[in-house]
Amino acid sequence: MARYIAGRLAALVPVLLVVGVTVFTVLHLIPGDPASVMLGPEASEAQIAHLRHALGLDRPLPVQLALWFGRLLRGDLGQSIFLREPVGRAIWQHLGPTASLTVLAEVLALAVALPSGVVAAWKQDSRYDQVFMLVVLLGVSVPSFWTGLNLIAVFAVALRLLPVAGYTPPSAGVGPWLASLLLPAVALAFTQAGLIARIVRDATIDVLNEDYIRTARSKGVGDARILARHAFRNALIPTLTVVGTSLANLLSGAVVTETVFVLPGIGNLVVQSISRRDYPVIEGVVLFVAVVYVLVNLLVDVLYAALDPRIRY
Amino acid sequence: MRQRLTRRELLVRAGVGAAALGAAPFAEPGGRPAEAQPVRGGVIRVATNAEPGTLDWQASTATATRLIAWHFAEGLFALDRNYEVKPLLAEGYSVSPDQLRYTIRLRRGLTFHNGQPVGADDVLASLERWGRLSSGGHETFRFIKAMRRVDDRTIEIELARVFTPLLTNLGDPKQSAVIMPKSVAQAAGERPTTQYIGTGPYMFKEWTPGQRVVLVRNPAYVSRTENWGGITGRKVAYAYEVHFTFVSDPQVRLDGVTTGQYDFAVELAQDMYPKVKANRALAADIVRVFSWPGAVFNKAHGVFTDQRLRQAVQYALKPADLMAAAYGPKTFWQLDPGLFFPEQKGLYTTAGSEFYNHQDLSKARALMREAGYSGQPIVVMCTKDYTWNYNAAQVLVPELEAVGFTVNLQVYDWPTLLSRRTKKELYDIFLTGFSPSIDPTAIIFFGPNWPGWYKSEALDALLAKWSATPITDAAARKAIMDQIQRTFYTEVPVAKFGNGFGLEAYNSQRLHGYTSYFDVRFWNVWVTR
Repeated sequence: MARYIAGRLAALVPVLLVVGVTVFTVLHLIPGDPASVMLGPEASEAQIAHLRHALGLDRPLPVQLALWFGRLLRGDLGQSIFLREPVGRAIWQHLGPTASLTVLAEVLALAVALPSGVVAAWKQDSRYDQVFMLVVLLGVSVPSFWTGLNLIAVFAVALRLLPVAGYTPPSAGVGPWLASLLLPAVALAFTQAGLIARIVRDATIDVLNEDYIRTARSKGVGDARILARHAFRNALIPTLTVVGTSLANLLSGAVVTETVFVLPGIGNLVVQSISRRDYPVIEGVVLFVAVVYVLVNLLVDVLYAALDPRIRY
Repeated sequence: MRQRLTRRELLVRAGVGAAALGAAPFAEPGGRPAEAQPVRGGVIRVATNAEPGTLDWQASTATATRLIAWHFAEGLFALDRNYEVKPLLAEGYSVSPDQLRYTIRLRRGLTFHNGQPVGADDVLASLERWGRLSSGGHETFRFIKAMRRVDDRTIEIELARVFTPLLTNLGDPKQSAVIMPKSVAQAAGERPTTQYIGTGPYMFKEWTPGQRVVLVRNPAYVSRTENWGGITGRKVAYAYEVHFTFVSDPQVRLDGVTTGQYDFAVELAQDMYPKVKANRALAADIVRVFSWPGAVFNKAHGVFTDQRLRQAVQYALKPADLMAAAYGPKTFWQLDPGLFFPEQKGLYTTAGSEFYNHQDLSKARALMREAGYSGQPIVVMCTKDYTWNYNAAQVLVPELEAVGFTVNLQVYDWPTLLSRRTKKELYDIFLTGFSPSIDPTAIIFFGPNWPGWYKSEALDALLAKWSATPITDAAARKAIMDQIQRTFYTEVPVAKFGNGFGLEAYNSQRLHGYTSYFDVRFWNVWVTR
């Protein structure tokens, strides 16, 4: 197992290399530059050229790539053009809200999706199952920003129970922190719960049709025990895959939700940086996302082995 | 012999009427009446639409920069409520009879936010940097022969030839000649500074990227006493802090001001007006001196190098349709031929109106035939980042096609459009909006190096004449201004659509003393909770 993990981690190097060079090249090939954004729409060409020079953006692309790569090898992601701080620190600062939101949304999603998915499988084709499928379909189809705006309209504007937008760090108190995250977490959890619950239902139905379930039933094992001990545990493998994907997705920044709720997370950082062409930040975030995906997938693979003794690496 | 002005003469020259001096402290014309007794303390929470790239107001023309920066940074001169230039840090100035030497004296007791007194050396270093960084400064310095320190709080500017817009340019809010400590100006050099040290009623406290900028009251602020409004005159920082929170979604800004999470929502969508009006706790501020949209022609490459085709486009347009598409209800736009806004009384003219809002398709087609247009595709660039921009393009394209232009509409994100518009071979027209200018020499598209590349001997001659005409000669200036605007309509560097208005909203039960202006200001404003 240790060798397997070491091998997977070693594979990160070529992944990051390819991702890094690709994102750098593509970014610098698309039009737009940070100087014209920073100076505003009425800046003259001469002013823009002046600032481009001061920022080193007028150097040949291969030179800029070599400089960036040289810094990267030393573990330096560079300096943000707009944020006036190292990219690594900017990502770290924006990771707090994103990680908080991810954990809360994922917990809410799992709390709803696991029991409802299992019950839907158990009561397959019943009225409950039909309603379940409808809600799940809504969950995966309705964009989270739309859910978010409606949650704001009801819980923040009409009922005044929660803030409209903004992020309160946990250092200001757990209550205000949770209050600032609840609406965006629910908006995200609605979609994620839809995705997970559908997989839980399908995987559980598959397991419930297995021979060993019939054997357990014939031996007189009760419904609850069959569901909890035999069916659910075996249905966890495909569920884990989708949870892993959703976790990596959320950790990479729930772009639209973070923008609607003004959460200063990774998603917001990347949107802002793209619209300003803050190249070092975009490059840094893309590399960060690549690392998150590799690590989450690795974690999921390791958990497979823990859940299913038949899987060995 | 140099002409010395007394303080009183200075005020008269600067256009200040006795009526204005005697007016009540918080009543501005067209604004809300004076409200209850101001209250000190509290926090003014503002939801703004965009995070600025920098808060260095010398370096950036962006609105997002200006509306925060002018709370802590100030220049020698600034605009009053009528968009006319008045002294701010300057106590006064005198002009030599040949109009080639300006002596500018600083007010007594001015200090920077770091406690250091404001001196002539700081002014010289700041102005030199402004001359290098800003296009207005660059233009101004073409006329400046020398600048020198006379004493601790007096400088002298010597001009190579007469340039009457000097003080106007020093007070231009677009990329302002704000005064910073000499050490900051020199350390920043060509790059935007990150040391935001000014002289204003509020001081820069912190900037949390992606979240907000916090300003805090400057307890040592030395205010003017005049009720000039605008960006100069008496300024009082009543609130303890002002928080500018970046909220990109206009619906969330409106929701935030509705629930009281924010006191003020900057730049809402015009179609939110009924919601704002229906809420008794909210006050709507319709910003009439806001922006005018237009189509900028590429005059350096392609078919629109021919003036007749630009005129043809002008005849093809129906401004009312374009403005309705861009700004929605009639409350938020007006058809107006002016290069300046009607509220800018010293500059506004309707000259050339015979060319504006006179759609004539047969005239347009005749001009196209005369110019030999034979269906070459024209590239029109617009952006979806600003709804009005894309919506206007949806009307512009069929109007151009109706007279026989073959149009290739290209939609980009704003940074891409900003980049592509600097490349002569890539487009024929791009759409943009122009924020108010305060002098014809400061109109950005009159510059030969700005995208569109307008070069006109006739205009240059008129601008030179304007620059040599004394500000006191109102009749001569009016005649030149008429000619400038007529030239704009005959040479058509830009086809103007109309004047668009902005919408802001604030909680009138919490926020008091606010007066409408072309961008938001929070001095002389207080909150009650």
